[in-house]
Amino acid sequence: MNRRAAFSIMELVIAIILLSGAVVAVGQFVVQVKQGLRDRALSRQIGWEIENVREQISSWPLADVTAARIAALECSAALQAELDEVRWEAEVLPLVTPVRATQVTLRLKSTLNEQRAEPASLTFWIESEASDAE
Amino acid sequence: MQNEPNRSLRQLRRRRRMAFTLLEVVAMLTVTAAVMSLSGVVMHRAFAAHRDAMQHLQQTEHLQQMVHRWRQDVRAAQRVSLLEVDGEPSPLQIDVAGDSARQITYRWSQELLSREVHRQGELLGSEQWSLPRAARVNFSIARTGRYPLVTSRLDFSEQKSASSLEWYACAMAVQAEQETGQAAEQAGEGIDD
Repeated sequence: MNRRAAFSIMELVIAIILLSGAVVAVGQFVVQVKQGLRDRALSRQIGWEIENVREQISSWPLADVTAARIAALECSAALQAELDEVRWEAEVLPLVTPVRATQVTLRLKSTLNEQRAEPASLTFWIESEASDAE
Repeated sequence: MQNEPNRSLRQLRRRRRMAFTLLEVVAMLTVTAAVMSLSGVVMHRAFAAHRDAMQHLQQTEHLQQMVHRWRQDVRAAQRVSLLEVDGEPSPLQIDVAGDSARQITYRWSQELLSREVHRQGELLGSEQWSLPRAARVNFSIARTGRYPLVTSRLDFSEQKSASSLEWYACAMAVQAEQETGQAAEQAGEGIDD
C-alpha cells in the first residue's frame, strides 16, 4: 500500500485559512451581537429618559414650560455615561386651535463618534385648563 | 524499509514540490492551536460579557413592564399619598375614583414589589415583580408643580458598585382643590414627601 507521509504547503495554507476564517467569523458575530445589545439597551434607556422628562414637564405650571427651563434639565448619570455632551433642547409653541394647549417638542442632543446626533425626539401637547387659560 | 518515507519526501523535494513531514505538520498545527486557544479565551470573555448584557437587558425589560403599569396607575389617580410605616420604605397608595373606584397600593418588601388592588376594603387582585440585584424601592411625591410628581427610585446593590434608577409619573387627574387639602392633611400628619 502506497502510504502518503507528507502534506503539501497548499494543503496547510488552505487548512490554516479555513480555521482562521472560522475564528474571524465567530469573533465578528460576537462583536455584532454585543453592539446590537448595547444599541438596544441604549435605545430603551433613551426612551425611559424622554418619558421621565415628559412627566416632569407635565407636572409644571404652564407658565414655567419654557425652552430655557427644559434645556436646564439634567440627563441621568447613566445616560451621560453612554453619550457625550448629552443635553435637552425644546421648542415650546402655544396653540389656540383646535384647543388651547402648549405644544412641546423635546429633542435629545448628543455627540456620537465626534459628530452631532439627535438620538430621539418627542412632541407632546399639554392642554390648558380653564384656570390656566384665564 | 524505515527509510522509505524519507526517501519519498526527498524525492518530492527534489522535484521542487514543497512538502512537510508529519512532525513538521504537528508542530505547525500546535502553533496554530495555541493562537486559536488565545482567540478562544478572548471569545469566551466576549460571550461572558454578552451573557451579562443579555441578562441585564432582560431584567430592565421586566422592570419596564412594572414601571409602565405603575405610571398608568399614577396618571389615572384622583389622589396619591404615601402611607406612614416606621423604618420601612413607605408604600404608595393610589386612589382611583369614578366607575371603577378602587385603591391601589404599591409596596416593596424582600426584593419584591407588590401591587394590590382593593375596592371598599375587599382585595380584588395583586401582582408581584421580583427585583434582582438586591434592589430597594422608594417612592416620593413632589407637590411643587401644577400636579403631583410621583417618583419611584430603585437602588441596586451590585457586587462592585451601587446604582439607581428613577422613574417619574405625573398624577394629572388629581383635582387641585383636593390635592391642596390632601397636602395640608399630610403636612399635619408629618409625612415627609
